[in-house]
Amino acid sequence: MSTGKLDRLDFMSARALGRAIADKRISSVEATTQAIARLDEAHKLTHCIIAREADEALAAAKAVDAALAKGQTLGPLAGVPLAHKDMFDRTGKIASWGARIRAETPATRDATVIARLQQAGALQIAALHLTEFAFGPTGHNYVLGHARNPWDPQRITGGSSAGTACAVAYGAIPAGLGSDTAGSLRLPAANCGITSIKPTWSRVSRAGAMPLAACLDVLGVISRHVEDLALLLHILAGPDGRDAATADVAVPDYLSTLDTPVKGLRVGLDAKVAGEAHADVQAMVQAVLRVLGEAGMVRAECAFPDWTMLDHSAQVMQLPDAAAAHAHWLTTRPDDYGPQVRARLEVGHFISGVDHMTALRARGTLLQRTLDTTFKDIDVAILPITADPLPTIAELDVAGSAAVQATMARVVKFCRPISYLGLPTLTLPIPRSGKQLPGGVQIIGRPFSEPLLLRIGQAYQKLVPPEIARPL
Amino acid sequence: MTQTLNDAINMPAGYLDMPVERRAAAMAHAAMLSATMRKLAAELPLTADVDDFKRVLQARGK
Repeated sequence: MSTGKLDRLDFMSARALGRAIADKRISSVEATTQAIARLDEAHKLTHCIIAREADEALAAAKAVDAALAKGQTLGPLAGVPLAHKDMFDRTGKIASWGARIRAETPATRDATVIARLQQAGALQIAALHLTEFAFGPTGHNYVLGHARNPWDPQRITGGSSAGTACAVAYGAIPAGLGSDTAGSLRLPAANCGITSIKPTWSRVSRAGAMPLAACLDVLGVISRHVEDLALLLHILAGPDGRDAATADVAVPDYLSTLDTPVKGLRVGLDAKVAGEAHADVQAMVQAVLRVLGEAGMVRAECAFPDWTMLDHSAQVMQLPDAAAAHAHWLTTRPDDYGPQVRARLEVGHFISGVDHMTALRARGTLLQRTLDTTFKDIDVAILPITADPLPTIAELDVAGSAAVQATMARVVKFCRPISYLGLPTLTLPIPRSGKQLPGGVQIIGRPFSEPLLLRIGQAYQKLVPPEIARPL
Repeated sequence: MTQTLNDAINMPAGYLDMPVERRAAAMAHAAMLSATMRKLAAELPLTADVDDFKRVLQARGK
């Protein structure tokens, strides 16, 4: 049975859909059936699906409906259809990792994030596109095919969590999982006009997730509604004995503080760093600042430590870490890699152990300096996510050419340094008008300040409501 | 391109099967990053430690 607002499930948040299913205003089977149909449409436009799992999802949806019919109380996401980047262990399955090279045997255990979502009752209707081995910021995948932006299929999605962003932006699913090593939750969310949360490094367990560079890897959520970021992060966050890096820091109830006013909070802009973006991107930052001002926030100035030093430090950490993880395959099966990932992995072999250790040793010092100076008089910072307006797939099709390092460096210019600092960021889509292409900016907080970031996002969405991608 | 044994011994990461141009580009990129790391090393205290990052991060979460 579906009436009124429930006729537009594509606009609903996961939280609202979960309540509607629990209240039996719609069945999980109906919601899941509709989600699968929309995801199939999205795939035709964007190439977002790697593995379609409709039968399994519908069987799980029937079980949820049956349990609810018996009066059982289930989790907040019971029967809600989601889909995730194809990089997580799931019992009995082999994740594609977006690659030709894969694990030889099926997983014997679910990744922690998958297990926690299942415990909350969520369903998974598909495994979604990612850049090969999650190592690429544009959505190009030279092994499985490139992802295409749902607003304009000639343009990039951003990566590496491309499929999740496409499916969420299209309205196929309300939310899904992604990962971020140097921008992979922020770039696709910004380019597809939706939101994402990259939590503080160590906030969410990576156990059972494909690593790219463990020293930087963070798992997070992509969604249209900030309230879903809060709901899912609350489910996902917290210590996990399977990931020794997870922080022993209490997990707050992110939903309970979501509607706390943001009036008087100070948002700082580093004009020198932001000034390195294209003028149109700088205009995006100003547009978001105007909205935050309407919400009562106060503009301020701030200055990050030497941006090039932060960026180079991130690379010196990431490249050998990724190269070490792939060292065996890169020497025994080099031709099974796509040209871009192969060329980028190779660079890690030329970075000295001394330089790698310097970047690791300096990380705490530079984080402390950032907190003591950059954040001294502000609550959050704002920076671009992308350096340039949304490019076409052809414009960034550099494969493994000599241009690859410089091209990728430009794409992740505003993301990688924040990954080095381990700070949490919220992606806010820009307020759009007419046929303006999507874009987004990042709101950056102190460690474990996710409740504050989510409050700001909630206040922002009251003024700039979430959109569904429709080709322009 | 297949490297000879001598080539492999005499060049960094000689075990990787890379064309000369890509190898040169990778070495140049690593050299650029290394120059920045030398500057960074000069301003680090001797006691700087890889665990500092987790300590600073978690201190803010308590």
